Amino acid sequence: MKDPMEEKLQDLPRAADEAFGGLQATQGLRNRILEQADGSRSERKPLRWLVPAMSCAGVLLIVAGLFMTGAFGGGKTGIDSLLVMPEQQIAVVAQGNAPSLEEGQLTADVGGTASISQNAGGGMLVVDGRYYCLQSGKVSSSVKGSYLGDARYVNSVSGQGGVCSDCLSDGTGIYTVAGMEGAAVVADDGGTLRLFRRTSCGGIATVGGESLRDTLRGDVEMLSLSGVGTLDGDDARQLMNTLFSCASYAGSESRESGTTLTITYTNGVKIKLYVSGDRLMGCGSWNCPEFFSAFRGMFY
Amino acid sequence: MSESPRSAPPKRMDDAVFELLYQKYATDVLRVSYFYLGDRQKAEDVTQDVFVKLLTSCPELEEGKEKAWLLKVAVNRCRDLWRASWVKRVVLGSPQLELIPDERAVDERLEKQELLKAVHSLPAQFREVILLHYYQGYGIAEISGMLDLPEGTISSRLSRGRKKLEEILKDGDA
Repeated sequence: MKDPMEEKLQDLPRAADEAFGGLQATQGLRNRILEQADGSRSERKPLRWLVPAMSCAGVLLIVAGLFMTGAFGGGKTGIDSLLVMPEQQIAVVAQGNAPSLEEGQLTADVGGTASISQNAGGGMLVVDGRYYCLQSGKVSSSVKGSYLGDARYVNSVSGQGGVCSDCLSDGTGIYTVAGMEGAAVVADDGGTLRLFRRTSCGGIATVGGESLRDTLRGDVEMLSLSGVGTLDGDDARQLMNTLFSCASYAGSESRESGTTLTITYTNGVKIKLYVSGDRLMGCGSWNCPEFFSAFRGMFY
Repeated sequence: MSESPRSAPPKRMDDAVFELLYQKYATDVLRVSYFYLGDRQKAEDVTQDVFVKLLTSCPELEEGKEKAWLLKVAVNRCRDLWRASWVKRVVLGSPQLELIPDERAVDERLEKQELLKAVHSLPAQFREVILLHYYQGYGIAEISGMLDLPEGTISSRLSRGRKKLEEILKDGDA
C-alpha cells in the first residue's frame, strides 16, 4: 500500500507553486547580481596587517574615549556605562558631523510623520530624523564605519530621533559608511551588510543646514548617466562639483523614472539616483541643468 | 616560458548563457531558498550568491545539469545560513513561513498550506531532501550527488522526513 504521506507530498510542487506564485526572480535582482559580479572581479584585496592594526587602534580609541567622557567614573558601573554608549554615539553623529535637528531648521516643505508601506520601495531606515532607503542587496564589509545604534523595528517611521526601520528586525546594528557620513549607512544583518542611501520621506529631505553635497558625501570615482555614458577620474569629480555648486532644491518629492545617475565611490559603494529631465531625485529633488548639459556635452 | 595561470584575465560566463539560466531557473532557486529559510530577503541573498558564483567561477556545467548545480549551491548556502542563525532562532523562535501566493490564486487551501508549513518546520537535514525530491523532482541518486551523501542516507532521510511530517501534521504543530 502506498504511504499516505508520500501521496500528499506528490502534491507539493503544485501547492508550493500556488503558495509562492508571487515570489519571482526580478530584473532588480538580476541587476544586483551583475553589479556584484562586476564588483567582485575588480575588488581589491584588503591589506591583511591593517585589520589587526585597526582593531587595536579602535580598542585604544574606545578606551580613551570612555575615560575622557568619564564613563569609568561617577556612580555607574562599567557595564552600565557601556550600555548607554550607542545613544551617546548617535548624538555625536547628529550634532557633530551633521547639523542639529531642531524642528525649525528642517528644509523640507512639509513636516511630520511618514507612514511607510512595508512593500514600498524595499524598506526605510531613520537615523535621528534622516531618512535612508535600501539601495542594494549587499556591500563589502570594508565600508563599515562606526557604530550608530541598533534599529528598532516599526511599521510606520516617524521623523523623531533614534534609529528605526520598517524593514530591519529589532536589534540590527547600524553603522556609518566611512567617509560618507550623513549620505549612507549600512545595516549589519547577521554578517550581511545592506546599504541604505539618503532619501526623502513624508516631506522631509535635508535637515538642518545640509546641502546636496552632505547627502552625497564621499570620494567619487565614476559617474554613469543611463543613455549617455560613463565618466571617471577628474571629469567625474569636476562634474560633481558643478552639481553641488549649481543644484537648487526643488522639493522633497522624489519619484522613479527610466533614467538613472549611478555614482560610484572610491570605496566601491554605488548609489543610484533617478533623473527626470534636468532634475536629480536623491534626498529630495534638485534642479541642475548645468550638470546635465555638461555631462551630455562630454559625449555629444 | 609558459604564462602562469594566475596572470590570466578573470573569466566570466557569456552574458547570453547567464541570461538564459537566470530566466529559466532563478525563480526556482529563489523559491527553494525561501522554502528552506522562510526569509524572503535571505532567499534573495542566496539567489544573488548562487548566480554571482555562476558568473564568476564559470563552472563546467554538463548540459541538462545546470539547474542541479544551481540548486546544489543554493542548498549549501541555505544550510550555512540556517546553521549560522541558530542562536537567533533559539532566542526569537524559528521564522514563520509566510505564503506569498500569486494574486490570481484566490482560494486558500488550508491542507496544502499546512503541508508547506510542516515541510518548512522539519529539521534542515530532512527539509532539504524533501524539497529536492518532492518539490524539485530529483531522484535519490541525483540528490546524493548534489549533497555529497550516500544514496542510503538520502533514502533514510526521505523516509524519516515523511514520518516526521506525519507527526507534525497529526499534532498540528506546523
